[in-house]
Amino acid sequence: MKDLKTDQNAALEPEKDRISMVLNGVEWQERVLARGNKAEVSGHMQLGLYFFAVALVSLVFLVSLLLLLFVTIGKTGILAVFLLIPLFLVLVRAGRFYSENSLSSPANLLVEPTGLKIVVREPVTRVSWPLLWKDMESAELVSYPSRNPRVQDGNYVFLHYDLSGYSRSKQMAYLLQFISLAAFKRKSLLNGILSGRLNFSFMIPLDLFTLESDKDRLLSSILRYGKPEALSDSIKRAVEDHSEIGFTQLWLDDLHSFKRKRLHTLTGGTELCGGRYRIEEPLSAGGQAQIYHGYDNEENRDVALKEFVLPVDAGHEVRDRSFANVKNEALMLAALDHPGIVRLYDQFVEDHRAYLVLEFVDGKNLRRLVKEKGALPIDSVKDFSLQIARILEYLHGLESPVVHRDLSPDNLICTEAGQIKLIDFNVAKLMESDVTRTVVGKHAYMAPEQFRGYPCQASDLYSLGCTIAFLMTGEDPTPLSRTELAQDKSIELKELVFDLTALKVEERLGSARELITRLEKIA
Amino acid sequence: MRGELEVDKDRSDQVPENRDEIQSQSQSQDLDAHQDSDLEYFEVSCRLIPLGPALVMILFCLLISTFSWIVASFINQYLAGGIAAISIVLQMFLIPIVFLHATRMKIRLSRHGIEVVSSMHSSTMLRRLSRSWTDLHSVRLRRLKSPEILVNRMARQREYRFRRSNMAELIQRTLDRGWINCGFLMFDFKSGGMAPFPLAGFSPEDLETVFIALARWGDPMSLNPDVLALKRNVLTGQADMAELGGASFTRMWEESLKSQFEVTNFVPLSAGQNLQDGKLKILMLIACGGMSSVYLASRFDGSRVVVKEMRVPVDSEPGLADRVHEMFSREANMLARLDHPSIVHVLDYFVERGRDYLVLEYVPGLTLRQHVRMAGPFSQAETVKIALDLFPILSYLHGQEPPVLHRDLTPDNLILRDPGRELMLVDFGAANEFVGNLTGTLIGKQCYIPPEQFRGRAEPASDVYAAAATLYFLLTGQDPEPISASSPARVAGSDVVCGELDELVNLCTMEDSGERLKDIEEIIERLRRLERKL
Repeated sequence: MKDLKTDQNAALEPEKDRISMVLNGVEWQERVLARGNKAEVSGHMQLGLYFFAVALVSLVFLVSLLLLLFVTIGKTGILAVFLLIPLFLVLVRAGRFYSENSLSSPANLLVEPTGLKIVVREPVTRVSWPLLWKDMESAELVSYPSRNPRVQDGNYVFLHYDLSGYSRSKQMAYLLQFISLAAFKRKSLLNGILSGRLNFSFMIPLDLFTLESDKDRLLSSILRYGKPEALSDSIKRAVEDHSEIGFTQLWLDDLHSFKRKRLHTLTGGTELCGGRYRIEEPLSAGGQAQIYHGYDNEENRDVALKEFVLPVDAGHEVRDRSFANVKNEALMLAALDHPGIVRLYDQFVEDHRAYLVLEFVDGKNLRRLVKEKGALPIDSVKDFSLQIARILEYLHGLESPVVHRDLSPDNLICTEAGQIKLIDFNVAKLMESDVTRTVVGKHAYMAPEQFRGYPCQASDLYSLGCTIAFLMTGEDPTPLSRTELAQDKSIELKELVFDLTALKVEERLGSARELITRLEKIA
Repeated sequence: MRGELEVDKDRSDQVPENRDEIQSQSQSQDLDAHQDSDLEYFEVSCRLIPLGPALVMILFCLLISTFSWIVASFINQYLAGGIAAISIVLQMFLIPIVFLHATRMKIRLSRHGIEVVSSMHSSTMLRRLSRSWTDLHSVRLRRLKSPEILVNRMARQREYRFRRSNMAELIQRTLDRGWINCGFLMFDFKSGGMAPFPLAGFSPEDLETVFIALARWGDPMSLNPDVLALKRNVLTGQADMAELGGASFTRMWEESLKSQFEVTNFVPLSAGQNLQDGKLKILMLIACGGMSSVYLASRFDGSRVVVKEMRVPVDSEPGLADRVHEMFSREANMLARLDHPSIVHVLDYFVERGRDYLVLEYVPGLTLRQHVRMAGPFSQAETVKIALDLFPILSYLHGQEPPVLHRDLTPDNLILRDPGRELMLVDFGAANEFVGNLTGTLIGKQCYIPPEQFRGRAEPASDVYAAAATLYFLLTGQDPEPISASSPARVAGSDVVCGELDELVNLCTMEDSGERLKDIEEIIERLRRLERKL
């Protein structure tokens, strides 16, 4: 698993050097304005407006002066107008210059390796000067109340910049640009301007990103590009909360998100993940996913690719939420490490399909095995049962125990060497249950309490008992019933199956450990 | 006047690959010949200002210009008279024409993006004449309280063509009353800026075209849930809910959407694709998950239908696929023979490219689950009324030769049809059982499946169990406990659910089918007594 982690980090390299994020800029400014606070001043001083106001007042004054002159002196007074017009124009120009330079209604945030830039689209497209990462003194995540009842409270990322290293004029220019989106302490602002050591906090409201992935991107970029000493714990924690194992390619997918390129089951020869994986052939399709036999060109090994088609016609939220189920399986599998459980090597999203790259197990599932060879001899049954029991012991013995919930001959593969491997964890969750959702599970192997919506570790034992019965008889057991095998084969096994398939949890065999002990005793 | 067209370099690298891939897949289930020609486009027009205020503004402009000419003609008396008269007349023609032209924006939707035909409207799209689809970030609604307002307006607009309206309606219509309430469709663009289009400015057909174009060429994920709900309403021409709107409606739709779309093992069809050589046109995807998906489609005659698609996973066993199709075909034929006002009509069944399709009549309305989610549990009286509609359906089904068992009666399969709130059964679980046997997996809502059905031995009493479990859900707002006799009074309180109703539900949900009350006649009789009492 350690190798996996570094691989993922390498995969974080975005294809383009800059990442563009979309945000609701108008609301951003509203929020900044609304945050007026004695301790930290919301920095939007509408100097531009002041300029215009001044211009207007002076205009009125001038006009009245003009009329006065006109009335008293006569037509020659009009000449005075020509002297005052330039003055007025200068005032207007200054005001416009100011308001143009202060960034209003930012539309995009550009993250580059050197710094952060804002893009404004109205009335003309303007890109601000970059706020360089090296100037960033600290980055914090703050949950801030707003004073304005119309504007929501929010989570803000405060990036504190120290611009002491620049010339005074440059510092003023920076100030003008970001004044409407920054927060400063009044006193320190004045001091900073006077002494030439300007610093301010640039605040980004996190809730204004329309896409969750944009939020993640911003936080991860800060973590990635910012100076390590500048990153506060709050930022680091925020990134941890947001990051998932793998699936970072999801972001890249979003960048190029569009119509599907492929509409059908993949055929042999198709290349995925930039040529890393090659599809050999489709193997089978389960209830929710299609399985392919693939080849990993990088590691030079056979793999099984489990493919989930993500629903894209219903918006981001739906896709992300249905994707969460796939993530669950990946998270689950990634945490497991047992020779009897199929390993998860990698996961990625491509063309709106989520893929789990699993260990390829060359063998037949137990159902096919029994179908071909008939009911298995007692030795094989004992051997297989022991292996499965050991797998269950491992699963149930984890720090957060995992109940598989779908143990059946279809999910157990027997390799050429006779090793049993468990596949297909989609149903397994960490003791979570959702009774109203459509059930997809092998009903003949489902324990009664699991059917009722309360699966527990003993449910897996019930399923195991049913599986043993299947191996012995070659037929699926009756659902929701206590299985009694015929007497002729092995009394111990018959008793074992009887104990495992008790309908009530209390009457059932307690744990995998007990089962192993009993199995080992059988001759 | 194309303006800037953004070419996504990365995508263009992949396009040739895609084409090769499609060509090389001679054997595969090639679903669509979705080769959009460059020349194909839709043109819609949108009025930016409602007519009433527009008239007022035109009048105002005319007055101003007339006044100014009068003043001018006073100053220069020689030119007055003739010229003033001519210019006034000219203005009276020009101003309205220019005005109406300026406020009626023509939009061209094509594979390349959204294009505004005349440069006068460039400011709507923020100085860009055209925006490519890749630039579209999201589409959302603004200030639309409920889709019903818009849909009713559209319905009325359709009506006006066929019947004469009286004077009051005519005036109201010309003045475009209720324009603002219809809200705006906002397009947010990735490169910045947004374009708001007043929804009332579109004619019904144009609005449909906009949605279809969006679905066909636009980023499928750019539509927010409320836009999807609106889209569904617009495309079906029906408003889903007449009474309750606002926050609970949106919330309900969002929750519904969560359960309606899941990962699948195949790629569902997308809007604009055709089935049966164009006889069926897919309009939008309603739900998908696992092995099946449900679409809204339009037939050759323009009527709306629901298409259920199933891709049953079969392994390489020879002949199995044919047997699957044959099985479904028999089921579909059996369903098509059913004729009951409360059961949805099955219109067609066919197999295309390895997938099974069932065409059903479209029933407007919300499912029982959606009703409960939006407005809370039903009252006793309402539940009894629904039950009195539900059980006769069962007796009809069981009375067929051979008896038809539904096997999947749940609050999600029952719809209260708009506008009269009649109960309709819209889905059948027969296919589920077959698929279940084939793949060994159980598909269905476990709370509504009785033990014997779980064991594979479904009987008419199983449907009774499911029906009673549904009543429990209606009364309490919660799903019943699986495989157990349910007592709604215990959860909802005995003042909400009277003793007899509670007993009835309890008896019908007995675990052992032998103990269960399964005589539908008797159940109906009891319900009638309850109805009289309540």
